[in-house]
Amino acid sequence: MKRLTKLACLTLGAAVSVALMAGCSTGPGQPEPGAKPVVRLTYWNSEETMASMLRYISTAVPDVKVEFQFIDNTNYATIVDTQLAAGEGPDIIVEAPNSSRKHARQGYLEDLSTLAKGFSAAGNSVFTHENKVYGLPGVSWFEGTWFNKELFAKHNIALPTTFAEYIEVCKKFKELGIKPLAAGLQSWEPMLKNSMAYVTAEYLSTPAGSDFGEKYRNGQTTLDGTWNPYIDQWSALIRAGVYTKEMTGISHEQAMEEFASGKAAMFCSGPWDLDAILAKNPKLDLDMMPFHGTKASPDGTGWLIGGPGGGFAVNANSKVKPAAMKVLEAIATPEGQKALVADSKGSSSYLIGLDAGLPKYYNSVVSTIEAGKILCPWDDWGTAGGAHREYGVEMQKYLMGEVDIATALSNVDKTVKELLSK
Amino acid sequence: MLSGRGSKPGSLGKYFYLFLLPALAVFLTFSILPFAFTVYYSFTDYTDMNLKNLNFVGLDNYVKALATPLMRKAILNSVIYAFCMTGLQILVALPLAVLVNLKLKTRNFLRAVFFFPAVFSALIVGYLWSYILSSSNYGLVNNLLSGLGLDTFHFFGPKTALGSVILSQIWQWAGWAMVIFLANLQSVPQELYEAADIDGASKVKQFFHVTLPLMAPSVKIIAITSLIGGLKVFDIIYAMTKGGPGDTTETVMTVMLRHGVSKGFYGVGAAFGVMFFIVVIAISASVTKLMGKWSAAIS
Repeated sequence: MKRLTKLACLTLGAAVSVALMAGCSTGPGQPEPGAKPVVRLTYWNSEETMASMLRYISTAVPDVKVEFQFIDNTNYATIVDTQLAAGEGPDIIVEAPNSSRKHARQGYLEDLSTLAKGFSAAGNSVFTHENKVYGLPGVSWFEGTWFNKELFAKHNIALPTTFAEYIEVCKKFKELGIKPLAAGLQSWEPMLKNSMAYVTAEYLSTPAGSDFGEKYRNGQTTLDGTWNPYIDQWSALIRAGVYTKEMTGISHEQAMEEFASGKAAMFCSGPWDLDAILAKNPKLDLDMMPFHGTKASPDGTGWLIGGPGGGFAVNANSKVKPAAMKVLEAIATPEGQKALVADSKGSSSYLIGLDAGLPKYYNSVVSTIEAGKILCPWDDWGTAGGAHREYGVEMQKYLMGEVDIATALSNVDKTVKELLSK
Repeated sequence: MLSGRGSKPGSLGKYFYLFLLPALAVFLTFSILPFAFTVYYSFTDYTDMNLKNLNFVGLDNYVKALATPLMRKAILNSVIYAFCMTGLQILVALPLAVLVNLKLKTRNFLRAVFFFPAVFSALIVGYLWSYILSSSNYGLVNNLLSGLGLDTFHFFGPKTALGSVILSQIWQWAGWAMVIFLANLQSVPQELYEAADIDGASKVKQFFHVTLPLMAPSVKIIAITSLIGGLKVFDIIYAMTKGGPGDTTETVMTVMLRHGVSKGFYGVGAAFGVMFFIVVIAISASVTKLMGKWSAAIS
């Protein structure tokens, strides 16, 4: 037993020595003289989605080594929050709009206003805190309405250009015995996005509503009392039987199945579902249309729900800040943006003047994307952005007749107030 | 061999603590310490906006946790789920155990069939049942109903969604409970049934007066484990309803995770956790006591 104890002591001693030696060696942020500085970049998307980008950086910035670190989305915010609070963390952080504002407020991020000048206002606005931009907009996500071109052509139905026309289209399909819109309302997301798209077209994109997000995150206004008439108008979809209570028993995948198999004419979603839809039905002839308000847009566009999924921010406490800034400069070039978009099918860049280069499935939304008419209203809610889930849940309750519009909106206001109070 | 010099015969002597240490260290690191920290955080203003300079806030977090209207609904849903799941699971599994204990040619096959669903993860079962009960064109049950010329049924409505979740879980776990009951059944001495036969007791009387009293230990195990598991339910809710429609199937765990973690109210989330721990301990203790009394009464 004594031998065993000696052996245990020796093993422990050796382990401690190795650990100490490792601790004294050069860390990833502290390069040895002459060695390339190592910049750690974290993202919730896998490395494959950044492969072209990382290859581009290695040629554009050869004197810096970028170390990609994937952190699963479920733990991303918690891990990054904790690391930043400890004065450490990655050198380049892909930030969600809400967390970028939070971290900017806490002083953890570097001001990137100069670099961000090449990006559109729609992209920069969600990473702006007190008139300074803290994140370079990454690729945008967007959601519109996929439609079955064959069904529209076969029944001689024209694409709608207003909300009223959209309802008429839905009614025509119903009369033909075809489900107009497949919707997986088991999830709170479809009604959140669809109703917000209408409010965007009718109010948020107008001079009267353009500063709503800013006022809302500063506690100067509420949804209840402002959004009520728009939600009431949008409820025409419920009254027309396009959205039904039974749809709360349908998942997103099941709704997608209905659309892919030609049993439904339309399906609200984004590029992320395109491969799955085509895998289920490779012969499906589909395109995406934008959302509309009561009036047709003079430029023939509509609105898409979406925004920059993530923005590239620099840790203010980074030990290799100049190297991290060099990497961001490369990302902000047209070549960098093309490399970024290359691995995210159907996404687009916010860099001004860059060709969207979208595949044929997006023909009907190209003008909308190029006009930058993509908005994610809750990205403007600051640290209360997470309350968009409550909004979606309240819309489900409204559909089921459990609450009226005013109650639904005031419940969201309460959650927003609670989140802003932190 | 293990009892060296200076140690008592039959014990590990002075090496007792050495052998205990690894398990104790693991238990302390991954169970006791996190729980102690949870209790500590439940009395602080710990949020994602305040990670370092924590201040003592007394019982504020506990008051906030209880004042959340959604929490009251979640507690009610968790309790309904746990008790329905436990009761119905026992009601279904007991006759199944008796059935597969009979000298049937197909009994091994039936045992495998009834136990089979317990092999799958709750997520797979959830997705499977959401397809079976779906309101879409692919819903198996509604397709059958419609094929028979009957009205379709909305299994995921505000008043039916929790019931649909419970149904799927009884389907999944009744076979597992059946196996436990079967093991218990097979240990019942055959002489007792022979004596009951001689006394002229019918099969039903034999079940209630011989089988059931001797099944008390396994019923107790199933009741306690199922109740605790039911109160902690999360995965099947996530897979089948995600707490919806609206918030009709929210449970304590789904609310705790969303409010405490996703929204960044870590202090309030910790208070949820501590209160829930106390509730689970109290319910488990009460049920254990009741089951003990029941077992004593029928014996």
